[in-house]
Amino acid sequence: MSINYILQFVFIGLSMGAIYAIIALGYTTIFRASNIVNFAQGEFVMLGGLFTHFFMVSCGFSYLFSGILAVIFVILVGIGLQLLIIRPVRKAGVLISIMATLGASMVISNVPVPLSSIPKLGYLSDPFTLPKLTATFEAIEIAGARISSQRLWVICISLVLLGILYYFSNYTRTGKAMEASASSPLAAQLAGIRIEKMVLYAFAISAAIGAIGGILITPIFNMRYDSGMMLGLKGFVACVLGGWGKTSGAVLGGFMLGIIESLCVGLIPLFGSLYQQMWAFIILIAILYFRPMGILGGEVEE
Amino acid sequence: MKLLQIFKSTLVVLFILVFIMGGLSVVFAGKAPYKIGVNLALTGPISGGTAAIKNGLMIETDRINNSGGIDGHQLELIFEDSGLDITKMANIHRKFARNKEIKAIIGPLFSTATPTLTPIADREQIPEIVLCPSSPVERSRKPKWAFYIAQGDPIVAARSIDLIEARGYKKIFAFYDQDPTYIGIVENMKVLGGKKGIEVFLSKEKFSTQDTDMTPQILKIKKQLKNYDALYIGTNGATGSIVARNLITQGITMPILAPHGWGFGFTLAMGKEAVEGVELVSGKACITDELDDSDPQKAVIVDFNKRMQARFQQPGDQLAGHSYDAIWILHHALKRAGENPSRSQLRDAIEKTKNFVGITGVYNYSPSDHEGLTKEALAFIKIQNNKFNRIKIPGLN
Repeated sequence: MSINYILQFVFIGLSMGAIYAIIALGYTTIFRASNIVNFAQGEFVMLGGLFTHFFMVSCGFSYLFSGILAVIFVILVGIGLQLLIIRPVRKAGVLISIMATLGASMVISNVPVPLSSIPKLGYLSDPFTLPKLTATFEAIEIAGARISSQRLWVICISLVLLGILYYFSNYTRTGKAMEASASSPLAAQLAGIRIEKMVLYAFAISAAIGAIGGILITPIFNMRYDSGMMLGLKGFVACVLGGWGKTSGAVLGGFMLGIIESLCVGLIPLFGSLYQQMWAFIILIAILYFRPMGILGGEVEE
Repeated sequence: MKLLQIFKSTLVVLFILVFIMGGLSVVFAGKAPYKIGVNLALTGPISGGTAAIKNGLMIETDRINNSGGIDGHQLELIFEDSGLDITKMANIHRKFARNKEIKAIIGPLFSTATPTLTPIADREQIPEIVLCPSSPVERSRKPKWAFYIAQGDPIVAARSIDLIEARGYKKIFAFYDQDPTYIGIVENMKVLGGKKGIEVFLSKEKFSTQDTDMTPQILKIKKQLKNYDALYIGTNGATGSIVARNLITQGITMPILAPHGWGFGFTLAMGKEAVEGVELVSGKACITDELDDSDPQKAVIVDFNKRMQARFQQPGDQLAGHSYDAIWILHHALKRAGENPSRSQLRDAIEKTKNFVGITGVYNYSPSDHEGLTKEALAFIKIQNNKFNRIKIPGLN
């Protein structure tokens, strides 16, 4: 087994990890502002792809315009989710809110189902894909490993998103206010921060991140209305792995999850590839057992 | 007091009226309808396929009923949605079986559920038309009450070997998923190929239908692939399009062969340029226009597609074709079985199906063969210009 062979799997892991990192960033954004785990995060990703597909097929818009429209629509869904579902139940406690997001996730992922009986919209319940961002070149070769252009896009954009989010939460007033409203709601309120507004911002931002992620990864995976659940869970595992509530933790966790998953498939004979989906959850259990706060996480708060 | 009396007497009159009407309707409207239970996952991940089947069933049932039904009996379909939940499917199956008015069950379309459901049909003794192919597990059980519509793994394997032989490939690498049908296909190919001097190597690296990225597996088999003439991707077209895309990214450009699960519009829609040049064996429903006029199936498929297009604005495909085959096989059998047949009479009548020209193929059932099709039901196809094109192989069409 040569270094080169292992390196190939590391590269594949990096490109998968970027996808998980984008999803994990969405979780973190909402968690940092409200302490809520938003289980509908995977649904934002799925909707990003689905809306783009819908605008391209049914309305005949260009790829770019459909993508922008899709991001706007998913942001609207995120805002709607916060206004209609989270805000009314938030007083009942964080746990209830988390359950509400789980319910919302199931509703959103099943919306395309009844559409299958409508002739003109039936295609929305089928699996679909989107064109690649750069159709001209297929893949580049680094040290014998080939990475497709689309995956490079995902890696680059996830890093850019990380940078923007890092700047936003550490160097802008709104970002700091968002974080304050989660870490100490009472103090934040006394300082004149409108908490509900901050949570609303958080949902909008995380919906946008999810939608961008969805548009980027649909050309790699095939997307379907029920894909959101698995993607959401992988992003969740990435968050736990990296450390809850840390932007850097989400990105590190995402990349680590991707690499570990890929190496498990690559290096463990026979079982490796057959149980590709299983490794993420084995890792989750191991992390919860040995280091419940995650790799970058601090002390677990009570 | 008076009001109550009026109410009571009206009720009595109403009851009498209902009874008379009921009696009259039996006498005048003719015979009770034959009921068929349809157990499909109308919602859930495969709802696109089942919607086409439901449409096909409705069109053909209306046609049968408009032309007078079966000796005066109308056909009545009872749809139940399982949401692709196997427990629910089993419950629906039992519910249908215990309803004495239901003559037969159509469904399911889900090969993972078939081994659970056919034993129920056997135990409850109700004829069942399964829309999936039989699998090796099924075949070894020899179900007495289940009949299969889709092309089984032995004939797909035989046809694939024909294609491989015609292309002159000697060594084939089979990369396949964990669906029993596809395992059955590649295992049959290995045996059949062995007899003809073709080596079919079954990949040690596998994937499952839900996988979204096969690059790790492909990286592991990449070196091996150089020693083979062609790659056989044993999976459905949706998952297969991901494999094809991953292969291109890894710069692997060997000939790709595929089974009938690729013969659907979604393979083209999702695979785009990645599936160009793939050669497959598939049911004739995806290359209707290119069939020979002498092919008895051509007229059947063309007519059915026209009806589907007219009512649902989309032509039929292989799956919609299964609905045609299922309902007409039942129609002919009910006709053959005589007036109001019992379930066992109906089953015996289905076993007597001979030379029924359907959309999937020409069916000949017998007490020992509930699959009914031969490898001639499959055509050779090449994907070119994002379209299915028939390829003709002399002596094998």
